[in-house]
Amino acid sequence: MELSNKTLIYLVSISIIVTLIGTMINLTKLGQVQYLTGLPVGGAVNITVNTTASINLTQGVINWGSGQVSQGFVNATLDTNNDSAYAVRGSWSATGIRPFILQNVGNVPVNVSINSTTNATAYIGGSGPAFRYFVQNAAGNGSACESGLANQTDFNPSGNASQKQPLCNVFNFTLNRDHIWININITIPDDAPTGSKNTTIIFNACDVSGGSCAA
Amino acid sequence: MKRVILIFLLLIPLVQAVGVTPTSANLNFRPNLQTEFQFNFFPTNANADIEISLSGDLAQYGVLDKHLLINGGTVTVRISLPRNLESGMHYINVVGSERPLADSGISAVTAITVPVRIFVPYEGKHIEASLDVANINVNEIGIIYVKVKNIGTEPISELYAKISIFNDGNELKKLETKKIFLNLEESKTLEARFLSEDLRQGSYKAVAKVIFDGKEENLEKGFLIGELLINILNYTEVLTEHEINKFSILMESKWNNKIENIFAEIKLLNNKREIISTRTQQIGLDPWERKELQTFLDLTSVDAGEYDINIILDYANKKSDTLGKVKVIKRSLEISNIVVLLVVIIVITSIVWYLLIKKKIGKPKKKRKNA
Repeated sequence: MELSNKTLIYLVSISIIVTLIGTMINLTKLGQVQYLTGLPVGGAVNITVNTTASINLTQGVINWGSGQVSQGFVNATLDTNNDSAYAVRGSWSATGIRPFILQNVGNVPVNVSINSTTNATAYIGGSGPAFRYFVQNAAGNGSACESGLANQTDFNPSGNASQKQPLCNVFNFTLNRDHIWININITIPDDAPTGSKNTTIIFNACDVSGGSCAA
Repeated sequence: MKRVILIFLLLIPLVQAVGVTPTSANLNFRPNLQTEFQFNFFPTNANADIEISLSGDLAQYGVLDKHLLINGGTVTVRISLPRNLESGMHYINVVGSERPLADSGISAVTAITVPVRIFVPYEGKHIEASLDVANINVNEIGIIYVKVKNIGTEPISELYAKISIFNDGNELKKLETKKIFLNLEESKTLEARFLSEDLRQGSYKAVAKVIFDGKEENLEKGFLIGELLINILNYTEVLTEHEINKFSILMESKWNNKIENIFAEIKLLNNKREIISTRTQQIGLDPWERKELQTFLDLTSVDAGEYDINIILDYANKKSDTLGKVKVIKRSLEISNIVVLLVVIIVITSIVWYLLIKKKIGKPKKKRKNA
């Protein structure tokens, strides 16, 4: 079948009209425009960003499993050691062991403290036990802790279970500066009582942007 | 020796994340004041129960409407302050902590503390003051801000600041702010402006004496005055002959704005005759920034020796020349694998030859036996 030029013009015109009407109906139904007049529609966007303090323990498992102090040694040491964990003078395995990883997922810098419900004597027992923590900026997160990065510190030396101990004074929240490692170092004497050991470690955060944190 | 068997197992609840909004609250003390604040606690990763408690030195004056939030929620703390309190900052902390799900092993939980800071003014006339001076460039107008807040129990009828600008211990300028009245709990910012056209590039110190109703408070703050200048602090001084060398120039901006499109032309000279010339890529320097500019020098046809180097920095329609020396040292001897293989083959061949010759020479001749 052959179409004349005139017929073709009619068909094309009908197609254009259908397309335009369809576009108008769709846009109107979507509520994006009121009239297709080309006139700009005035508007204002008001946004309020609330301050949010929030921390996330993205790596919260340190499972040394069971073990014993090796023959001929007075103690064994287990250490998460900045993501290069080791277990020496004992049969515990350091395979797959990582430090706690804490992330600031809020939108303000926070002060972070730590406390354990038990200290080394209560938690491990025996002669000269140690239960300590120390903090490091996580790999690829330089200056995540802007000030007050905790060096190796004994947990709960005073025996006061509710006493908060400093972990990081100013913990950043910006991308690639918002993860810290909390390392755990444990010394187990050979005369420590046997059995499973229980304690709770609490990571506590507080907004520092509006002034000093609560004591 | 006794063998000890211990179990160190971390039993972790499914959620170790908690958040809160807003993150703090401030309150000015009034005798017998009664007020309340609301905070929204939420678990970050999934649903979890959050225990709410109060701590801080004024915790006894706060009451919570609930102590446990199932899957998060809003908590209201009602505060009823006493008639008198000691001056200074006090706290009622609202603490939201995950409820540990594990009963044995080591459990780790997260907690968030929201401080409600309650300030009790000091008896009489007292202020809290701070000084702020931004870095500027030569010929720009400098502005010194003195922020003051009345933290006493009486209004301050007249407050102003006398400011001096020092450089190397010499007082160069004297300024004074306008005089203001400062009501109870009121905060204001005083300003003093100065022209830097008669000051050189360098480090300065602003010292302010804030005078209020016969009392004084002293403050000081350092600042910099910049000049459109880039200093070369260091460059690569030792190069190796007959190879392409990496060449670094450590620069420092003395300008208080960003400088764009900085590049350097590097010329190696032998008896004032240019033997090598190259140009670096373009980089930018932030205000007062130190950065390395790097390029490569083709010394494949240059022998060991001491040469002059001319570094011409080009930036902001300025050129700065630096003349210095570089030492081109001999290449350390490199033994390729082929050379090693050849040496080994020669040694083995020599040994084989030696053994063959020795065998031939050392072989005793057969004596004929006389019959």
